[in-house]
Amino acid sequence: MVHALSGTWVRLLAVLGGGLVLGATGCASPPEDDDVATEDALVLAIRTPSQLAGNYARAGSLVSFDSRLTGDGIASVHVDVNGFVFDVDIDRAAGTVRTDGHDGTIFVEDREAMAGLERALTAAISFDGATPLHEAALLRAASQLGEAPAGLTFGQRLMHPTVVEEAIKIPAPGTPVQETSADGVETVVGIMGTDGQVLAVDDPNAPEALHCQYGNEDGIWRLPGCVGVHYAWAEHDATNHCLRAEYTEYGTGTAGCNGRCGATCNSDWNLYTYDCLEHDDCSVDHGGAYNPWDASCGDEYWEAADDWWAWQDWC
Amino acid sequence: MGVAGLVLAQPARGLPLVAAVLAGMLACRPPERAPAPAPDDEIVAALDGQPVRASEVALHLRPAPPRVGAGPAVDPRRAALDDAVRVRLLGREARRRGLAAIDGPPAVVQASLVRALVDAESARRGVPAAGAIADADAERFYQEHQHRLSTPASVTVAAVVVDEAALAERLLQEADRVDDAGFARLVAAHSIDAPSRSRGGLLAVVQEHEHQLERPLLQVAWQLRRPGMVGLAAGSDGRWYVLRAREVMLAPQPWPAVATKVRNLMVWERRNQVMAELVERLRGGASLTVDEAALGRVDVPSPP
Repeated sequence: MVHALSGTWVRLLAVLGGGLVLGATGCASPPEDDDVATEDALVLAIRTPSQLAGNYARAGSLVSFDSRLTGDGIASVHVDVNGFVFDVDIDRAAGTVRTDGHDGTIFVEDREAMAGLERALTAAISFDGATPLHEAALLRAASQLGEAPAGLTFGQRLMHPTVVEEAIKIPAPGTPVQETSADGVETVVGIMGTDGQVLAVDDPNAPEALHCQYGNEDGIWRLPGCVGVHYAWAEHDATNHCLRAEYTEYGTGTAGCNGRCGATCNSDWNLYTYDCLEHDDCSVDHGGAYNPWDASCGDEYWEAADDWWAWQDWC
Repeated sequence: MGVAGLVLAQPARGLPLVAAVLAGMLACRPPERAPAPAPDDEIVAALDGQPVRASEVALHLRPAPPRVGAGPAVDPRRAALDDAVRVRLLGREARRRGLAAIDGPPAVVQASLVRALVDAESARRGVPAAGAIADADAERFYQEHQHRLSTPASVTVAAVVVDEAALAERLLQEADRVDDAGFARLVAAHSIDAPSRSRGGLLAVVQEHEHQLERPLLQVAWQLRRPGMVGLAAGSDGRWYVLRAREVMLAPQPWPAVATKVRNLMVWERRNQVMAELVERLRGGASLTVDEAALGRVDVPSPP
């Protein structure tokens, strides 16, 4: 049967044994003049309680995927997008997620295809607490790669995404506080005090910076709430200065769903974290990092990467 | 269960997934046709007499890129149309060569044909695997392209600010041909921005997260990676900014940190070059007519 969902072709073939597997019969017709695609397409070739495999295509890009449940709380995902291969191995009991991009580099068309896959999956499958681990993992892999800066190279990475900070994050005393105008002009407007208040830049009581960090990977911090517009302290570093803090809006009510881990906005699976907010802020400044030569926002993305694999649905 | 279903039930993990899925889905069903076009899905072009509709072009649309360099502005709609045509021509060429497609909806058929052709053409033209590139070649490539591969510590930007688009275009061309002193003369002759004009055109020192430029200007300025590079941006004040990098401080990464990416970029560039040459040849044998008015009605996404 063939369904058209939200402008995406979704094809599920031959139901068998409670799952969906491919059943192909007949022979090919001679080639048509042109294979004209006016919409993207998701083909779920295999869908069983322990496997989801198929293809997704968009704008000449091809994604092939195979996710499997291989034990209790153990799953694997294998994705090939235009030749870039990404593997994920999840062991919930051990609390580990291992990702491996096999030293491949992701490019703009790969990223766009993965973001499209995330949209197509959420249109075709319900994602909630009852979603099998391997299907949720495929969605998260699509979401993670769909927001990767073009030109980012992926090696192996072992993550332990089990500890999630729930507290509200306050910048360290002495951290410069900046504001960004609607036009994007960034200005330092104060210094973070010892009890969370913002002091004037020239306030004699402003504390010295406790430390000057250039990377701030500090685990997974959940953003409180996400429906509508909220505010939180986002921090970022750069090639030339220590951390800066900015009181930044996020949530479903902001343009592009600021703070959501993933490039898409409309999804029934939503994850909002501080690291994803900081990466989104960087992407806005740098035009979404379309230039594969440019390393901008790569560090923010790296810090956010483990957030995709925390297992709560937080919105 | 059909034979294909049995194949797919246990695909060998060691095989590339594309091959495994391909094996199960290889052209053993009649091709699926795209649904009939929506009544409002305009024909924006014709490729060898076959309609190219707005929906097909929309799949390839990206926001307009920052205007870097003195070349003409990229028209996002035309770029999307060109990319749609590229994909069609590659799919057609793959068919002509008898390459295998994955059966399915048109997008899957088309993308699998393109993928097969890219692989076949890259192999035929000797595009190396990343791991086969010699250290010395890769490191030399990095040294030659370090400005593109390094995030700058700072970019010092000068500008001629004008309020006429046509004048800005002309000044952009001139700015690309002059040195610092020549650019200062353009500033003195044309710039209407008093503060920067009083500084010989100096507009700002841009750093990654510290800048006094509004976003459209920043996104151009940040891509000026060599002294003398120029670009053009429209400010929210309705003025046009012809930008020129006066000084660029790079923060290059050590070679071991970028070696893998450099090799991948070399392969990517070489593969793109090979495919661009093939597309150029295919375009030469094809007829494309464009309905500019209809193409102009295709919505372009806003920059992120």
